[in-house]
Amino acid sequence: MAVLRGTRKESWLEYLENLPATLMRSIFRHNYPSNDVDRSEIVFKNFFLHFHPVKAHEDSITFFRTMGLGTITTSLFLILTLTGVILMFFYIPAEDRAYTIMLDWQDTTPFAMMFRNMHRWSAHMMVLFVFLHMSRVFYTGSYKGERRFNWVVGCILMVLTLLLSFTGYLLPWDQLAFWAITVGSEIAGYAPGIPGMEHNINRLMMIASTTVGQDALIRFYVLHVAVLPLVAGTLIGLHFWRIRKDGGLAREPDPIRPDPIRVVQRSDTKEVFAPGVKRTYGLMELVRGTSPTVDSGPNNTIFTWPHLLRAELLIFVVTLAFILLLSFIQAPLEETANPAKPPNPSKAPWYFLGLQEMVSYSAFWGGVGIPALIVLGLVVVPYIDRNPKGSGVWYHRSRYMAVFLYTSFMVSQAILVVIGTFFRGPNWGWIFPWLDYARH
Amino acid sequence: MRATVYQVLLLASMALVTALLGVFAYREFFPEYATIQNRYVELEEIRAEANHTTAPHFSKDKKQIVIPDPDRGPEHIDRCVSCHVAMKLEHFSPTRLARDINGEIRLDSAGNPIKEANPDYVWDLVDAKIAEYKAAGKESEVAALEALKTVPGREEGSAKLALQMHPLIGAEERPFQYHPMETFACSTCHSGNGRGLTTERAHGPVYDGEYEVDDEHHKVNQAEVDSSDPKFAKVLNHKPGHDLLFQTTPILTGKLIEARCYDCHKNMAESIQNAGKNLAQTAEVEIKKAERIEKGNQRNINAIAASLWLSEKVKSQGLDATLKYLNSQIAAYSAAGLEAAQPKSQWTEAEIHMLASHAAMLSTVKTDSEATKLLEVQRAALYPAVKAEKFAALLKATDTPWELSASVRALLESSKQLAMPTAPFADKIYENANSMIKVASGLATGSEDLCPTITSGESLYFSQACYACHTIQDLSKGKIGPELTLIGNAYPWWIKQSLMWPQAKLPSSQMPTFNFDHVEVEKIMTFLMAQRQKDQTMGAMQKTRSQSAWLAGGKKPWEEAVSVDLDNALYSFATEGCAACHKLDAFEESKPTMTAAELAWFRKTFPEELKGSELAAAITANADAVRKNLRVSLADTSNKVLADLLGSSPDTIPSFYTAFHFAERKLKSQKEDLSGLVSYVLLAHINEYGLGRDIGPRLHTSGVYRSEAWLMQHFRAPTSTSPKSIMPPMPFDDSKFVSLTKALQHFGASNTKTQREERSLSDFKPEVAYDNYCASCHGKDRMGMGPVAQAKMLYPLPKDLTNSLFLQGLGKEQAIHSITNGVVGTPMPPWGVSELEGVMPVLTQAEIKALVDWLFASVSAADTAADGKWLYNKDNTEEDFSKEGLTLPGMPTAKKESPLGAVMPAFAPVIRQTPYEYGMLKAAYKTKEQVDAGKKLYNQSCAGCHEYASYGNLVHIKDATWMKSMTDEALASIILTGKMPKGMPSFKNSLQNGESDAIKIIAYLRSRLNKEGSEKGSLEGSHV
Repeated sequence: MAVLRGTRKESWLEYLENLPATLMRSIFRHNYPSNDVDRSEIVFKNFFLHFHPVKAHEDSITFFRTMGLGTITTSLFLILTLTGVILMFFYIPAEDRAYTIMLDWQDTTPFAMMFRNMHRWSAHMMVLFVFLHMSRVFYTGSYKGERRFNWVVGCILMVLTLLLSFTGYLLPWDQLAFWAITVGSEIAGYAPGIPGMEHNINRLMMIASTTVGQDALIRFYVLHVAVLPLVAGTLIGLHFWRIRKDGGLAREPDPIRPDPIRVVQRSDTKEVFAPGVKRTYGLMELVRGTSPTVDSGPNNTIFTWPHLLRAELLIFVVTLAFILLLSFIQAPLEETANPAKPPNPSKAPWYFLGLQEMVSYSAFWGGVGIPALIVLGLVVVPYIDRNPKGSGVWYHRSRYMAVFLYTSFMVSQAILVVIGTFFRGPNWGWIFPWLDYARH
Repeated sequence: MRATVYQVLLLASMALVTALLGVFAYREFFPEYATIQNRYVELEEIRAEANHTTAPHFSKDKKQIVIPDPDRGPEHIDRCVSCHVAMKLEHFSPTRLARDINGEIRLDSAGNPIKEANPDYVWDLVDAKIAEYKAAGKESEVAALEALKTVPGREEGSAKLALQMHPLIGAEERPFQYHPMETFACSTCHSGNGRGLTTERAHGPVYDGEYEVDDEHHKVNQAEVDSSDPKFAKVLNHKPGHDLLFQTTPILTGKLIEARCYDCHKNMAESIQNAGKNLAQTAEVEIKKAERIEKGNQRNINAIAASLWLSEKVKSQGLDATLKYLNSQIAAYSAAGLEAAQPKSQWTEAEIHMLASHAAMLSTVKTDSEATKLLEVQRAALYPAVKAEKFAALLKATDTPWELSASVRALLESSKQLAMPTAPFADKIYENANSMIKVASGLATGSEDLCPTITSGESLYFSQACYACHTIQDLSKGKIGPELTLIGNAYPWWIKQSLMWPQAKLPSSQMPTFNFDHVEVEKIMTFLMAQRQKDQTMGAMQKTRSQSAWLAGGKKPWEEAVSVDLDNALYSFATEGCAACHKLDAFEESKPTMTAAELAWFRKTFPEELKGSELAAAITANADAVRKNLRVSLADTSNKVLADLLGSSPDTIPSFYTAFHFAERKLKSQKEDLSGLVSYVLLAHINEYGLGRDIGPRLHTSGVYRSEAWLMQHFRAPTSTSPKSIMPPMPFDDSKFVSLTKALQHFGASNTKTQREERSLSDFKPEVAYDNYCASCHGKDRMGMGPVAQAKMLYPLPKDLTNSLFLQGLGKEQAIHSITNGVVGTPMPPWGVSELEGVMPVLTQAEIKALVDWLFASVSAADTAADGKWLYNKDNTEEDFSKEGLTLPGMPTAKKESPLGAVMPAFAPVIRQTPYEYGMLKAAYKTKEQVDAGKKLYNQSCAGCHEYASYGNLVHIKDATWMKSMTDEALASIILTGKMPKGMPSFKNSLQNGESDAIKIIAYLRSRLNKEGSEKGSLEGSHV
């Protein structure tokens, strides 16, 4: 017969004996995840991990499902935040100081050049990977059903990424920065302004003056280090949270589909979920040999700890290594900004060169009309794609038209960027980069 | 399985990240400057050990000089001293000041301290130690000491270079005596990036091979490269690549540093000139003041005279009548002013104003006496010291008050009431200013100059005609090239590149390649790099004044009028830019220095176009003959102009002779130094071949075949006589143009005479004549690439005379005509014409014919119809026409008459006929039907290329000037034989009726030309 007894008060000796454990326990509310209970607990009791599910589908860590593109983008965002904050300690957003600080960074400020290079190349890579990630999501049709709005959030994040990159471009205050932003703000100036106002309101709002100068610099700085990262960070959280709520990464239905609510009890662990789950199986036979599904349960699920987390960490570290390798290339620094000496041609950053190329045909349509339509068009993709099939499947056969349209759009934009980058010379005239190209 | 793979990958990538971070950390913890500082400490220890002392304390860290900005802007920071730690230490200098027995510093003749070898030089200590160890056979110690001299990863001896004392400049007795490092900082004088801490980024792209280069196509900058080239040859030759693109201010090496000295130090001449300018400005202020005083005096005198006159008038006629009279006069004046046709009133504007103000004053009073009183009060107020009676005494009846003025002035002057203007002082100040400026021009080449390279550069800026095309504020006003006022802020490599191959950055640039030698490039570049408008020697006000005077068109010395004088003209020719592009044979010695045989030897041994290496080889091979035959060197020349040039602008003559520079250096570097002979050869060269450079045509005989009017026109507006000439309109006074014209005529006549005399000795040899006159453009090999053509600044480029197709198409008659009369619109001059009375043309008709015969004979198949190709001469045409059985409308049908004779009058071998007078279609054939038919044919056969695809030379056909320089015959010949070298095929077979169709097309082209000409007006007769 069970005797009800209160918890015995531990002695001082016991208290001291248990103190390390108590301390650890007060910080980590779970044990070391050596069994499935703790593997679950570590995820849902840890603030930093709790946006993960306890168990994820094994597709989540199958490389060619996602190729880690979203995780790479997130990793880049993290690297950018970290290096950016470090650089903020040394940077002064003043017209006459910004450039001299770049010169100091080159040799004098410890590790500044490493951080600057990492920041620079991560920013370029992030723009690239945002587009790759978007393409993956499109080609695997992962924006269907309840995931529709998450695609919209992604589109907003894409625009934010471009804006972050663009605002950061000005800060070194060299010729490259000055003229890229001048060109960029000119493009913004093609949007219709307020009738009767002397200056175009869009351009004015962007650079806070009629020419790029100190006002533009401080405006871009605040946008770059405070406003945009805050918004982007929040939206990234939302982006993840919705994935989690939508049941993880989109995937094909499993060929054999067990009831997802029911949880399988494995013989080597304790019961995970509350009792009362209806048992749908019984022990039929004991078979000798290794189990065919060691890492995943019958539902093709795996534990987040360690599998998913390890995969994520792997991608982060690989990304970091890649960026560190890139950082051996010095971030460009040209002569100090000189409004009197425009380079010919003045080029915007590469990801805007498609726009600049279009601007060379029509200022309004190339610079404002078409880009706005592109963003709008991308946002409404999940609402006009009524084909329910193909979610989580690469290039589903029923989506040939969607795939074709998206591919031709992206390829045409890529061609424009390539033309703008390599085939445009003085006065935006056509040149062949392998022939003599005299820059002025 | 997958878990394992991921785990392994994770561990591997983490290891990679750690390694990469390690590399970055290594770079951070072992910077270049630390290596050099370690070397320094080791050196101090070696010295301490040798001298048995202790090494001085040294803290290893970044070191910098910070100069705060006066306006609280970013500080000027120089971290150069992080590496160059030994800048002030005397034991790091290979020399030290020599002292006499009393311990006083010994001075040389210029007042600068004499230097002697420094026994305490640390690097010598190291060398001594190395020798010691070597003798002892301690290899590892030797290697360790040798390693001290070099920074790992940099060139040999780099640490030794970095750790040196700053050399003493001029009169300095210790480093930085006059320019304290702490107040000037390093990069103020040396340029460079003071914030940088690595050699590459701090020094910037300076020495070739020491920095990454932008992958652009590079042209060879010098014709020849040799180991004897100066150091400057390997400096600043390339655009830096990506990593150093920010480095816009590389350190200044060698003489280039003068560009910075120049900001604060002017040479004596310029200081005096500036002082003179200041004085002149003061004088101007005084003159203006005097003018103002005089003006005020006159006004007062006029006012008194007017009031006297009015008082009289009031007295005699009464107030009302006076007022009426005044008003009528004022009304008459304004009416006259309104209607310009009416004769002007007798009053001037100033007088009327004065009368009007008096009338207004008088209209305020009622009675005569009041009016008189008022006027008296006014008089008294102006000159209270002069009594009213004295004024009244002056009064007599006069028509106008102004006649009174003179007597009023006399009265005021006698009673010393007039303020006397001070202008006479101004005159004296002016005199002083002018004499100072004169003194300054005398000093211009004085040896006390602080910046001799810049002074040389400036003189080259003029002698190389830079100033004629480029503007530099307060100096030159050329409008053709880009402005150079702030060129000192441009990248040094860009300046050098633009100087040496102007088309490198801008393919359409019209600036010729001058083939400067390194010496000249260095001088000009230093001068250009000093152009930053950062002059500290003039006040802001002075600067503004002098610039506004310049903007207002103040004349510079070279723009002043000159007296017409041969020597003056030649001096201008050499120093003011003509010789930069033209050669003129006018600088002979006063007495012939060579016999005919020696001359022949000289011509054979030293032909005009020798490369530097060939020249050096020729001098080496003929050293004895040179010593024997060439008896005068350039320094001892008896030619007045040359001697003057050597004295007053010594950079001028050598600047035209890059090959001689090269040869001199090469000879100097040889075992037996023969460089002294170069001067002898150069003088003979100038005597024989003329002075100047081959970019534009040679001017030896141009005074003969060009008329005075043509020359003057060409000087004033070069393109008006030579459509595509790159010659800038020189900023000279007309008197200088006249002077130059006279000189050209004089030397043209004398050169022609000399050449004729030589020719009569040896009869006419076409090949010799060709070499004398034609080869400079068409080339000795007749391929069209003579020395003048090689500059590629002639348009069109000279013809290839070895091309049989060209000669076939040209025909002998046209060739004779072209040589005789020149080709309009091209640089081909009229050799058979003489514009000077009593002077034979350069080539007579007979000579030209002989020349043409020789030319055609020497090219195979030039005058034969190769494989059935139609050759356009009279006989062939006749044959063709009869074969085709054609008749042309309006042509006599009689078979025996030559159809060509009817269409084209025979060639008249008369000099100076315009092309219209022969070889042209008769007017009878330019009927409307012919023209219409021609238009149809033209649209069918020609328009495809000539109208719609207007590239290259196809536009010729639309060029009125070119069309007018062609005879109809020549056009027909082109149509029927084609111009294969240019890609135009023969139309003989594709035109149905051969020649008659060609004639129709020509008729159409001519009618079109006339039509356009009359419509636009400019086409017609624009070239004659």
